[in-house]
Amino acid sequence: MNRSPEAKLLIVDDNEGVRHLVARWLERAGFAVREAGDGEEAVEMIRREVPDIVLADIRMPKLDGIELARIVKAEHPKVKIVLMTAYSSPQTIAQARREGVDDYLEKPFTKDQVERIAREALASER
Amino acid sequence: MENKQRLTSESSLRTRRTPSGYLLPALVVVNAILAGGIVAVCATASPPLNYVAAGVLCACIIALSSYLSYEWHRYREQNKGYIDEITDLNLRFGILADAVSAVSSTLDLEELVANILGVMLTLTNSSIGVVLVPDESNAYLQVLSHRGFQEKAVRGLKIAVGKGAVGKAFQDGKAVIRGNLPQDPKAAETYLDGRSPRSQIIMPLKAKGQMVGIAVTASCEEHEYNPDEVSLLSSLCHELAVAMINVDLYQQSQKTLQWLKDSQEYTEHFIQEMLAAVAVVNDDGDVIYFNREAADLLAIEPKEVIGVNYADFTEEREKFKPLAFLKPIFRLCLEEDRVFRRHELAIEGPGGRRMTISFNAFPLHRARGERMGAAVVFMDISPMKEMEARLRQQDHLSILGQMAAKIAHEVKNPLFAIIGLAEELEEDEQDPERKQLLATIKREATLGNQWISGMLTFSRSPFPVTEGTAVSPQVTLPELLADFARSHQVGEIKIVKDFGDDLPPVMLSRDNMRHIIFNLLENAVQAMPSGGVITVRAHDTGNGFLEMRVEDTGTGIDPDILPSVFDPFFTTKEGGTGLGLSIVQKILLDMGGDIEVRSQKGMGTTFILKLPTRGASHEPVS
Repeated sequence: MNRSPEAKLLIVDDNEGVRHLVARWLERAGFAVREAGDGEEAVEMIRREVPDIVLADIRMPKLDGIELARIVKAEHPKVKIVLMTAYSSPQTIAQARREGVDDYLEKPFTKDQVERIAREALASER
Repeated sequence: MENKQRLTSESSLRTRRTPSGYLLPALVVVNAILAGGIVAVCATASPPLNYVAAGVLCACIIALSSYLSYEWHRYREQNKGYIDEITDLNLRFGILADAVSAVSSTLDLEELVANILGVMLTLTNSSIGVVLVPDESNAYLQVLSHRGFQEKAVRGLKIAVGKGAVGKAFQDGKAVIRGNLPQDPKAAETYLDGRSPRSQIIMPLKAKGQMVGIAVTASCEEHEYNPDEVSLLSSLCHELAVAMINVDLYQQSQKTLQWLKDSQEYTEHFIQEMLAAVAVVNDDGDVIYFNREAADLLAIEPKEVIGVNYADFTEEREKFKPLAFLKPIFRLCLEEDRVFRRHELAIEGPGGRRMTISFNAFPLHRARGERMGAAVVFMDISPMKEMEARLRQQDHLSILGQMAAKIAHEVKNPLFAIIGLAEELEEDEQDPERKQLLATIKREATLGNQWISGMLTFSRSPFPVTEGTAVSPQVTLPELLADFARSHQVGEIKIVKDFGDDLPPVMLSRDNMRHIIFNLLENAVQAMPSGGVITVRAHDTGNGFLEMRVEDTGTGIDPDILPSVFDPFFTTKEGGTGLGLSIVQKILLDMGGDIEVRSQKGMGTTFILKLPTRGASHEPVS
């Protein structure tokens, strides 16, 4: 697998446990990982330093994953966005796709699944 | 009144006749005595005395004879007047008789008025006459019947009440006699014979204190209206007014009768054809009405119920068993004047079928408030009740769904973190005992996560079906059956495929199809602990559905629990979630399909699925 240690990844999730777990997995996989507790915090962090990929939960207080995707895609179209969901209706997924979300992951997922999805998103042309 | 008058004239005539009656025979006797005297004088006396005496007697005879002839003549003259009077009275009697017969012979107002007008004209020796009646506003008089007028002169004629001699006479209700009328310049176009009337009499038509019209007769000659004539006319007009009121009442009653007849027919037709069942009893409790819908609903012919007293509607009488519920309702309506609105009742219908009926029941009262019976209007709402129950279940599922979405976020996230972090620690852990504990944490959390995932399926909205999500059963079904056989301990169970290769694609995702098939097969396997046969059949119904049957030869389902097998969290299995079949049903209902179950204890169970197809199974190759 073509590793790119330079890739900067931002994990956004209001659940600290999930955030730490996924951050741990992806750091081990060679990503430069930062963490944000909600959508608003993520927007602030992206303004300071633009990541290559944002991995965000759909359901979050203040600013949810889909709204975050819309803001990020509007300011930085090249940033890849992958949403995580514990539970989502097909309509929500369809809406996320329309907002330019590159891929999504259904929780619970494995270390390998998240690493693969992140790399595929980075490699995609979109 | 005229009778009295006639009597007076008759008696006065009789008193005049009395002296002449006795005088004439006396004079004849005296003349005879005088003639006898002449003969005796001539025979016995000597001349010239006998000539003188005879001459005197002769002179007496001549004088008496002259008086006699004068009286006779006078008597004749008197009798002649009397005969004329009798003739005249006869004529009047005849006219009255005509009038009476006219009044009693017809109930047609115009015919009646025309007849009486004719009588009045004869009576007054007139050729022109008209009867006017007030219009609906009572402000104008209009022509009802006429004689001697040009049609165009009276057509649409309106005389304002209170205006002119006629209008005033109507307002005052008094008779008016007018003579020496001025020449009418429009006589030629007004009257049939073109002559202007010279005298007229205007008579009110009044009876029971009510003015119903006005009658006018006019003559082209100067006519003296004598009191007898006026009084006769007045009674004639009174009779006419009475007759007119009677005719009006008769016509009104006829109209009311017709209206009643019409509305009765209308009501009967309406009740007969209405969608609700209707049963009506009279005050004695005998059934007088039982419509078609009631007959169909309770499976009994109206003729078997009409005339039967509601007290006979008992459970004991087999024929009336389905009608038993009516008995207490009618009793309460009739005895306690009770009214029921939208009441619901579970009854045992024809053939012992459980039915829920909704009914209105009420005593029937006449306008005076006196009770005349009671009615029950009812309908079978069992299908609605079933639908309601189904909707309620779906509503529960929807609430459950909203709850599930919240649970998912709040529970699945921590579970995910627990599972993942436990796995991380397990990987790094060297101590086998601690490694085992971490594995247990991971396994338990995973189980909890699976349970929640299954429950969450309910909150999923119908999946939008595109062409990509439709599956082809003849490809997918065998694959899924093979997968199932590989991954499950099927033991002595044989899976038989009974379907052709011309099945239309169905509107389901492969995942959903897999869930459905696996779930039904798992149930079938569990129902056959000592082996058996599972048959999967499928065929195109041709009306937009693929019918699929999953049959087993297992233990069957208890009839008591059969209706609950699709209820969420209903389970008979140790450790089961009770969600398997609920999810199968949910998927099918969301897709516009359906599922039902038939089972016989000890014989096996069949699930019948209706899967919506993607339209025509054999599309034209165009």
